[in-house]
Amino acid sequence: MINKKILVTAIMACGLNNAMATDTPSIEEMWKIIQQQQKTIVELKAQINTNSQQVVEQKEVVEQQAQVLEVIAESVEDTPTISQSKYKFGGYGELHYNNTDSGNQIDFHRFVLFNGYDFNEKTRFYSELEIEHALSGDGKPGEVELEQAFIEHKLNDTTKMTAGVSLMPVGILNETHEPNTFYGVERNNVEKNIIPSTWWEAGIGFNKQATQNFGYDLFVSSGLNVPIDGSSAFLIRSGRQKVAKAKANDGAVTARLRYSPSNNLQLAASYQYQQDITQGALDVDASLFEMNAQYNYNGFGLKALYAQWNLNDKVNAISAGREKQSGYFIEPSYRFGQTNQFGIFTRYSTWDNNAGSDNSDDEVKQLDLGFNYWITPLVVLKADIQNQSGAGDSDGFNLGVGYSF
Amino acid sequence: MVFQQQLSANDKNSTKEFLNETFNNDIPKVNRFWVNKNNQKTIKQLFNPSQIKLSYRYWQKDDTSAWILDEIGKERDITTGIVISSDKIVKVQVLVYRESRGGQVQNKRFTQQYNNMSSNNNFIKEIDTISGATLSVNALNKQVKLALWLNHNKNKP
Repeated sequence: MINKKILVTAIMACGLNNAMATDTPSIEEMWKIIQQQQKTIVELKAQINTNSQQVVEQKEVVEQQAQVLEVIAESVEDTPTISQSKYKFGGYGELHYNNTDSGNQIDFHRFVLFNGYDFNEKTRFYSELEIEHALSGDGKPGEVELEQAFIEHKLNDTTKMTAGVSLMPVGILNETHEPNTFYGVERNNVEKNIIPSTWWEAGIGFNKQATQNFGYDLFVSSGLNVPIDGSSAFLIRSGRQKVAKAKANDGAVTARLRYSPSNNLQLAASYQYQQDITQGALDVDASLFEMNAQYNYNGFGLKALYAQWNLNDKVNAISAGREKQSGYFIEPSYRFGQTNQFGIFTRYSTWDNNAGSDNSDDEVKQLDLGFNYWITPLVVLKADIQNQSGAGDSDGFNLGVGYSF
Repeated sequence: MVFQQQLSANDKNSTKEFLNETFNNDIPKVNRFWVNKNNQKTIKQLFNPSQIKLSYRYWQKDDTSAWILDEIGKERDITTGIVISSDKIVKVQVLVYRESRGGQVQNKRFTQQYNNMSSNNNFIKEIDTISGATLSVNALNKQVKLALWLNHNKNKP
């Protein structure tokens, strides 16, 4: 029985062996296969070598290209753009609608073009050309004015000098008067009638920022030439010669101190002396004192300004009380909205061009209330109402749109 | 190397000084944030800068990166260095100021207001406005915001 089993197993094993013997390649065949595989390996190795060689080469090409790209990028980035160009161009303008007791009118009050040229890093030219009231000419309401045209030379980072026609370093808006920088459609009457803004003269200026807090400006310039008779006699505003074949017998000296104890607060005080504001006609010496404060905190703003002219008292004989011309305003405001695009303000101002007389009948008082809406930081819509009392009675409202760039 | 005519030796020095100070005299190799089409659109929408560059150069060591950006105040570029760490401002410094008015933004007491601020801050509300320097303040706000955005997105494909 056992033997039979062994026999069967043996036979089966034999059969299996026979079957395996037919499937297994012979040694010769194996050798062939190995040789085949060896050949393939050699070929693949060669392929890999070629590939990695190519990868190295391509990497080099990519690196070279990256370098080229960097050079191109740098040269493109460093090509002077408009902001870096030597030629500067800009402007501002304001369109006003006035509906007051003085009349209703719509007026493109100011259209201004700035032009400048940088000779080099230190020396530049700057100019401001203005068309006032849209149309100029004989009998037309407007004027073409050259408000600024000067050369500025930087002596160092904190000191510069100017020569040419410049805005006087006096008041808040005389130098900064783009419509998006102030409240109210019309500029305030104190700076207009007392200082008198916008006021420019030809001269030589010196500006110094001595410390982070403190700076000063000096300006030696041409002077005023006020009328010596009629209703405008000795009115400061009527004395602006606008550097147009201006009488230059007597000049003016102006100095301003600027003090800013924090980011929020700017203080300034100006003084001007002129030996004769009649340019030889009557020998009237005069001086201007002005001080202002600007405060900003969390949207809340406050501007205040006081200005006073003192003329030789001989002018009283011709125009009573005109030896003193003075005024002040105070203007609280508040900006709000996600991007501070809205602002409301109120301004109380009072001015008197005959403040030297005992009676105060000549004093004009004005209360303004209004808002600004900045569509962008440089484009503004304005609306305000004005109420005058004292010597003035021009009540009404004003609408305006202004821009600068 | 082609450098713009207006970038004087002095300007380059102030940049180098700023980087030396930021990285303890061991300035890392310059990196570039290449602006693709999508980024270009986003940058324009979010920040409306005076100019969108092909790439923005920055220097990075560990978590600290330094960016140097230009932005127009009124009519001239203000060059500002901005250091960021963990998406927060470490330092803002005006390197070259070319405008005629508004120079108060160069003061440390102004620039240090940005320290520790992130893109969550509303700069228009939280940074002091300066009378007579509004446009320069706006320019710096833009630069800092853009730097924070670039820093945050610099490793995204």
